[in-house]
Amino acid sequence: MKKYPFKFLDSYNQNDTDIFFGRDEEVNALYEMIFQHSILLVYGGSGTGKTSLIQCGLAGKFKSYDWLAFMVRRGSNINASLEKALTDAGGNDVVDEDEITSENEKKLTGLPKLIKGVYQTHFKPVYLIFDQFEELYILGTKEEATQFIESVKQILASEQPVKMIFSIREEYLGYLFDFERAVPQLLRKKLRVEPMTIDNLTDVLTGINNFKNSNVRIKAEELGTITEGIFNRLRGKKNTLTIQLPYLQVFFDKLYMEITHDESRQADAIVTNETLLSMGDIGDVLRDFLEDQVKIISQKQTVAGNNIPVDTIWKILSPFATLKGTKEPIEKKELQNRLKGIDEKLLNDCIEAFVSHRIMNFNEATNTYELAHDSLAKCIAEKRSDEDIALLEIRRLINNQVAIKAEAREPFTGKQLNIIEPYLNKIELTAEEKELIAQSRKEVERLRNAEKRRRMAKLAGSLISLAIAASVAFGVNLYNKKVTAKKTQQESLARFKALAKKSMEKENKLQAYLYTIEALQLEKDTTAYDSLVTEASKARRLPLYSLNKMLLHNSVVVRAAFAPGDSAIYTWSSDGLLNEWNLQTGSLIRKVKFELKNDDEGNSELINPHTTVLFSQQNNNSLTVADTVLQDSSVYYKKMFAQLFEPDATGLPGFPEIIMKIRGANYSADKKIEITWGKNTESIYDAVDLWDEDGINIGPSLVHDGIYGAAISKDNSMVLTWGSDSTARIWRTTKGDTSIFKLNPELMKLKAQLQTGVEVSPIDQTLKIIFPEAYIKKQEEYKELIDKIGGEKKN
Amino acid sequence: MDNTTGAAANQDIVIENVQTDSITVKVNGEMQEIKNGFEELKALLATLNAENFKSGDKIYNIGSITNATFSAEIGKKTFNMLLCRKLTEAIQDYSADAKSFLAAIKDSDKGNWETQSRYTRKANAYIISSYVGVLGILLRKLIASGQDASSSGNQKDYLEVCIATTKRTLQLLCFAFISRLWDLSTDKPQALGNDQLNALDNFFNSPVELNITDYVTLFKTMVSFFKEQQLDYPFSEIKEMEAALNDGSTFLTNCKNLQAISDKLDAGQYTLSTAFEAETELTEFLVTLKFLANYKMISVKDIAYEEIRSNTAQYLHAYTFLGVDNDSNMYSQKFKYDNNPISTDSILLFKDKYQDGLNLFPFIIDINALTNELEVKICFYTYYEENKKRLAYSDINKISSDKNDNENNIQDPSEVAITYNEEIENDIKASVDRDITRFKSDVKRFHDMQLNVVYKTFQLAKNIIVS
Repeated sequence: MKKYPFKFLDSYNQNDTDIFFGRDEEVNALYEMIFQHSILLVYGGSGTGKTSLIQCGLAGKFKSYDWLAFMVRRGSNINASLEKALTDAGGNDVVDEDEITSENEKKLTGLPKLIKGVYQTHFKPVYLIFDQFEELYILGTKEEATQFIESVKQILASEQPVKMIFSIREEYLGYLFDFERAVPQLLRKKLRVEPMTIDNLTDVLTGINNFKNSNVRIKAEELGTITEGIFNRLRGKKNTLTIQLPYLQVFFDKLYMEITHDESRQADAIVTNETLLSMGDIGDVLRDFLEDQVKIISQKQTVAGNNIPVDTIWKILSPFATLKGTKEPIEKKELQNRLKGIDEKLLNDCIEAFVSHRIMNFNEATNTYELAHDSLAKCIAEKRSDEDIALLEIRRLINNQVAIKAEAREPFTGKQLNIIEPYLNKIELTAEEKELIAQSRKEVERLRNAEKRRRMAKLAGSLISLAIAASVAFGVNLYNKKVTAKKTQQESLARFKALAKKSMEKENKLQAYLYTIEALQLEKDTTAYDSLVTEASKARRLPLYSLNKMLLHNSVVVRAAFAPGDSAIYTWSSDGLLNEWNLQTGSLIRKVKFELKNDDEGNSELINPHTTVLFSQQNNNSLTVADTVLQDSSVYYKKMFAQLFEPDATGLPGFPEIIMKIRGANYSADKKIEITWGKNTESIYDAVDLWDEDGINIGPSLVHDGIYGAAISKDNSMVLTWGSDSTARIWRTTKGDTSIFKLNPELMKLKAQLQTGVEVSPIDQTLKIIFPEAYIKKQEEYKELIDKIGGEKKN
Repeated sequence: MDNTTGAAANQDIVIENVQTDSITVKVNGEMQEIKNGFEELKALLATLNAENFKSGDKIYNIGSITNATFSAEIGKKTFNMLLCRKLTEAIQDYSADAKSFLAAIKDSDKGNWETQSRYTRKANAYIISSYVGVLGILLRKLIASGQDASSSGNQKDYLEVCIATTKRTLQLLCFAFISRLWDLSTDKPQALGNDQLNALDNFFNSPVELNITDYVTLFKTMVSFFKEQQLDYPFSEIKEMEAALNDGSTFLTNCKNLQAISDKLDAGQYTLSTAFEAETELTEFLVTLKFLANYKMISVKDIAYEEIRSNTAQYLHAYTFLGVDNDSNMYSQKFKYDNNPISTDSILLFKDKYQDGLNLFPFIIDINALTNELEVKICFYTYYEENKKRLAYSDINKISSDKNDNENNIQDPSEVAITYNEEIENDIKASVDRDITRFKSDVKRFHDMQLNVVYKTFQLAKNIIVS
């Protein structure tokens, strides 16, 4: 029987090895690596085919007796999903209480025992494949991730016949920091799944033609031109060297339907240049597909005889995409809770329509619905209005708070309530959520009154101290009031600190920020805290940047710059092409062929027959390496401080011990931000780091491997990076997000010295080893400083 | 087999119902229940003085069917029941776990415990962990592929693993003898006769992989030479199985039959009963070689020399156990201090102390140890192409009956080739003060340099033994 050789937005699996083409090199590399190490990391951009590569390409290389694979998706909790997968596969079936079980076997517990149970049921090596692993970091909690890391360590230590494969989108690689620290072998064997090139596409089309059961054929004598035609259409005006698989699949499906009009996809089709040309301008295939389906569904669905507005369909789709534009699996019941204003029947009908229109899939293992591909989630996220985004943020804030057990749950702060209140009439709240908000209002009111009383007490205290001699009895009374006020203040302060710490552990920066500001306000009168207040308020203004656009060339991008007024971006590559890009949309405005000449000062002179244009690297700012950057014989070093990971001993967020090797540096226009680029000791990639005027690292590293240079826009809202990977990347500040909690610089310096065991010599500005005696002294200084600042000791 | 004559005409014997552990037989209208086994059915028919019986729509003659036919067609057995029972019983002298397991089986279950998964699960684990290193790995595959073949009806994978297990077992025996011979020849040249020289020449110079029969010949030749010269066998237990190498022995018949099954597999002429036949033959073959459960194997990953000032020098051995140990730990890496070094990159076969083990390198190699990878990748030497200066190995993890066929673009996925890189060798010779820094920094060249060591060691062994 003939077979349709495309999978639309579904992944290829072990049954599709006969139609899986163009990935031989990666499959072979993966197959070799799996015999070399017990952990593999597969990473790549969205739509590069990571899942298919593993569950079809790799799985197809194994005989059935050597491959017992479990695709573990996060579901509602990755640890529970892992346990369920192993239990379902017979993990608990081995009877271990009876007389035929050896003593050694009885010692095993937890996951290793489950894995042993699975092994003794099947006698096959177990492969745990954690697909879309980024979900743990997008949708999971810190506790969940920590528990998972412990589980992985436990599995590795148990030496069971098990291997683990992690598949993750490359933009989330940075999130593996803690994981790699705990499991250093995590990144030892890794494979980047490259986006599809024209050569891969040629292999795919040739493979389809060679597959004798395929019901699709490409006209053999036109194979070359058809390949090129498809490739050019899919890359559109972007002129990239690669295309995304979901786009190719959706395009082919569209092409097939144009030729056959057979929805059962059984009819034979022959693709020719002519059929390809008849497709006309295809635009953004995936967005168009989604919009078409939404329109069709809106016309099909009715309530009281009326069609459903397209906006309602988008609203129903919205919860399935995270704020970051990745897919979020949701149970039907949860969706009904989130979309209370929408009729339940309509909701169910729409979900069914989404599934039948191949926008969505149902995952039986987790009982959830999810979008067929992350690329659809991106399209949905882009459709959201600012208000939708704000509503989702508020929803996340409320969910996070309610997710905590009732006995440990804390009310919202005054500032949180100020953010939430304007949207309350636009979101459906459960009885529990309503009660929490009501409680929070009461608590805020109580705290306000307590603060008033404290101020009153302070004022009274001043008056009394002036008149202390007048009445000892009155003084005692006042003293009691002061003690009470102080006690209330200390209690509130301790609670706010604890809440800030808890929020930071959950990586809820916004919430932690609000709690800390509350805490700081209560400590206004303590001088020891002043420096922290200054740091925090300073840090509050500092932006975090996230990748916004990627501008692609055909060869190495040697220079890039913001155009005057930050309206456009110029990039130029080693093949002599100067591109001008629209800064807002990332679209190419024009392309000019130039001869490129660099002068001695690093400026690039672009010459065409008519004009000579001189561009500076960045807003005419100095290229001088900052004073705080240190130099040894060959490279520059810089210590990288505060990163918002684990709490410090003070209860505030700490920072890892990272030393950055710097290849270049630059200043912002106002000279308040310094940017450096190079490689740091914790990362295998080149990255850009930003530093404030006190030399404090702000925000996460902007990863751009093979970086040549970086610049910052005049208003500091964007960072531009460019490099050998033929891309220039624009990074923007994340709306509503701020980098906070910069610690006392002296404390940071000491902590970094203690963690790294090296310090910067004040004499010759080189790195020196700290010897034991000095190290102990520094430890004591560090403890004293923490005590002085008033932080809590970490257990 | 259709046969309507004879006793069946007088005695109406019909198999009515088949269960995993029992068969219900209707004898002249009366129901009888016997154990689901070839021997039990044979005994019943003997008691009834009958030869023929009916099962389904076929009439069989008991004298013309084999245990394999019975398992496949009449008893509807699942694979590895026989193997599981016989091997567990065979290894109990070497495995305390297997012994106590057998002793703990309830009396009521003793007759047919191999039909109950709660027992076979444990027994299979003991078999896999007991048989020496690489054989444990292959038996793991055999048990898993037996489960798959029973449920899917696909016998090819199962047959491939049976044949690979036979061949690798014979290779292991031969490699052990040749390695011991090499060690002995280094100390004192050995007086090899023409038969031995021919067999060894075939081993070292064959441009195609030897088959089961070839390895049996080589094994017999080696045993007879060691016996003649009164040399210690690499496996002391071979003394007790010398008779098994006499012409017409069960062991040699098993080997011959396994070769015939291998031929059927290559020709694509196999059925369900061929697979049961393979199970029976392989089981008997492994029962004869049960002493292999008394041995262990390690791959030496690394050796570090440590001598700090006046302290006594010591060596840090890093090695990995091959196979699956009693707690199902596969490939668990160990580190151990010792006062003496051991050969780098070696594969050691031993009974008690690995330090006293027999080094099987370069006949068995761990490619991953040579290329500094953590896990083990065990490859067995298969053939040598002199004109290409190329040694072919077989990765035991990748079993396939596909043979290289360039015309039809078919590759044997298990083949690992080591081709001598003369250029690197010359570069090393030309390097000053044996400084190999530039090779170390180039991963590809360093790997080639390591693989050259395999090639050179193989040639050295050949020269010492055969020349």
